[in-house]
Amino acid sequence: MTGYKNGVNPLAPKATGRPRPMPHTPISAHEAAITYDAKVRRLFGMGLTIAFLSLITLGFYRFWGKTQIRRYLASRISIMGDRFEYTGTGRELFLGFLIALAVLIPLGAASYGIELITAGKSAVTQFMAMGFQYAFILFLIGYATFRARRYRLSRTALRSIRFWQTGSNVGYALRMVGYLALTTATLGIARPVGDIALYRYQMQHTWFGNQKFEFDGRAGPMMGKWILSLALVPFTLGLSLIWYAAFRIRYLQSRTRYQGIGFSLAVTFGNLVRIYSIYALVMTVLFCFFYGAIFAVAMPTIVQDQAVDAQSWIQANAMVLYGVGIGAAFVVFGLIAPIVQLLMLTHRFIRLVTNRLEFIGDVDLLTIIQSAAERPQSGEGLADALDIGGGLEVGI
Amino acid sequence: MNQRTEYFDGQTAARYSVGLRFDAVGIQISGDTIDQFWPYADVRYASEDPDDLPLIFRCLASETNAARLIVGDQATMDTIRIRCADLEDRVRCDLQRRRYTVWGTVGIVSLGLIVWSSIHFLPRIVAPLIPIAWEEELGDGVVDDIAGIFGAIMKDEVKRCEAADGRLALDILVGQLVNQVKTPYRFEVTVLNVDMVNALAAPGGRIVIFKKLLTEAKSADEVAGVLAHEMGHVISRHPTEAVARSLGISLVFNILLGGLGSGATGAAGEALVSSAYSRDAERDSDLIALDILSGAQISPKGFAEFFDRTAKEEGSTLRAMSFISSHPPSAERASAARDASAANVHPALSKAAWKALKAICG
Repeated sequence: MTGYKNGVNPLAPKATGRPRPMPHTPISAHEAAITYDAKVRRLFGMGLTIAFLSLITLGFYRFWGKTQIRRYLASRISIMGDRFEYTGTGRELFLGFLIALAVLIPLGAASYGIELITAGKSAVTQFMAMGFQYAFILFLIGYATFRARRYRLSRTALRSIRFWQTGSNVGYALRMVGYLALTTATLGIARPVGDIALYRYQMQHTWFGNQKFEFDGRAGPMMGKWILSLALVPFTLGLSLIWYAAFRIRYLQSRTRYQGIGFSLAVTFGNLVRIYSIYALVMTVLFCFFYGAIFAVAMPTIVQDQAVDAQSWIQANAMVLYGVGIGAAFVVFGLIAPIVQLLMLTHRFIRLVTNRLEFIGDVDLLTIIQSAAERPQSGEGLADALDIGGGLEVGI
Repeated sequence: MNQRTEYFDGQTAARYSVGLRFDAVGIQISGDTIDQFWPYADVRYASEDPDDLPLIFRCLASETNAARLIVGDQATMDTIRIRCADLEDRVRCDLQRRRYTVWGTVGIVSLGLIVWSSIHFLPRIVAPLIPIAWEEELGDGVVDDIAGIFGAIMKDEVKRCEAADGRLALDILVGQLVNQVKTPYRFEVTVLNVDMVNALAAPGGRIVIFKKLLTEAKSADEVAGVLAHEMGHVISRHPTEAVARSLGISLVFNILLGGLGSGATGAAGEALVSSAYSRDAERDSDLIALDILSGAQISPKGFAEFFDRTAKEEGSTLRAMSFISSHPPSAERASAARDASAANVHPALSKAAWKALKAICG
């Protein structure tokens, strides 16, 4: 735990800060190589232990497990030989979860009330109540996403300087709901408008030390490719969306700046397809295999009385079948899916980005000063309770 | 890798080359403009992995909290490892063991309370607060759900049995029973064309009887007994409590396991079909049923006989969802019913009406 009392660094330099000599002055682009050297073996062991512990603790270990993985992943990414550091703790995540619980229980009770009131009412009433509930849940998701990002950034440091985030959770959530409504109303065509606006909001509120990230992208240049990829979905089985996703990543990065540094992230369609298709393939094979195996083991013990007809057999063994199904789902979704996701998606994606990311330009490191801004004291509870993302986002 | 000893001061992103001097109580770190003292007891690993070089250290003292010391050469590393005893002490470095314990305890106790109260306590508070009109709508929804569930199991639409003569007979039977109780509920009995000896009460006075219960019953008195029993559940608000409970539980689990708002009501109908009421609840309903039967001058013998028979059949067929499995020790209940037998009784329905009721599903 590195939190300052009251979240304020008492030694943070004043704006006028005394002049310092320059031990290592400006950093240039090629010096700023980014490397990533996580070991798959280590990740696998970590993922297995965490998934198992989470399973037997009904999910409660996940806060500490998530933290452990974030610490490891961050420490394996370095810029100019300097490692990122994740300073969050499982305790903070757990605290955030408890707070989210305190918020969500009354909200949940309210939605419970709405369900009781509208059960059996006319279809229109039910539809409206459902619409309201969904809009509200979307708002919560937006709120939670931005709040979780704030927490993760504030716990990520490089060269002893922390990232952090300004901006309002409510503002972000309202924008998200609004742009989603716009996207829906235009049958998806206006999606880049909201996408760009939200990304800009994120970047322009992201800081490293006392300096801010900038983003000057516009929806215009994305529009044509987006509409084309949408139109091609039926003919390409959705692959055109991945083609657009690669373009989107390249464009967003090329329009992002930090001080004198620009970014170039040469992610291609092929890169993304390879990651996603291998992930999907492994996932499918594992699912089929484990469901098959579990049923093969369970079936002989279930089938005892073959004289009865199928229908009453199913009725008589409904609970057993149900139990086996739940057990299989538990193993597959609780134990296997998180590990596959960690190894096949998170790890490979970080590797791709760190391989392809380049910095363009110089930055004077002496001008980057630790910020004295307040930091959130608890983790991303709401986002966890709402199950948003794998949440392994690190650094930039 | 890097053999130099370097220092980030936690205030700027600049990297400083420093020299270390180990004195009696701490490390003296000095460089160009750096002059820091780290007590041995406060030095901790900031590296994720102690085998991962170069090693990174930090210091607990709050003024230098964000600063990092990076050590690349083996000799210096060994010296620090020898001098600093608590390098790996995560908990102490949190400096908040007590706060942690307190929050942990509060969290676990409150979770326990939430789960416990949503099972045992809240439903009893919530159920009486729900207006009858809502309960009736909820009940209609649950009856539809039940028909849907059995329709799905049997891969065929479940019909509501509405043969006119049978309906009339059922209304006569229900009418006799309803007259014996003072209750805000209006009872509405539905017969579903399901081959199962079962009956259940949904919220708002909705009662469902499955066809096979009618065809297996030996007399109208037996059906009257079952109906009176289910009416006892309704009057005690057990079905509404059960729905409130299953909604509450699914809500809590949704939040605990991550993920919110995934169809809570779907579980409600299922819970009514599969979950058992407590024995106390069953006994309460039996007592109410006996009151109703004696008020209506219907012999509780039929009630008793029905439970006798189902007790004998216990463990035979239809275990998973049968009447018996959710209505344990039938024998005990049957004897309670026999004890309440009174002399002054008449058959619940005429022979013709009973025949019509049995044929309600055509």
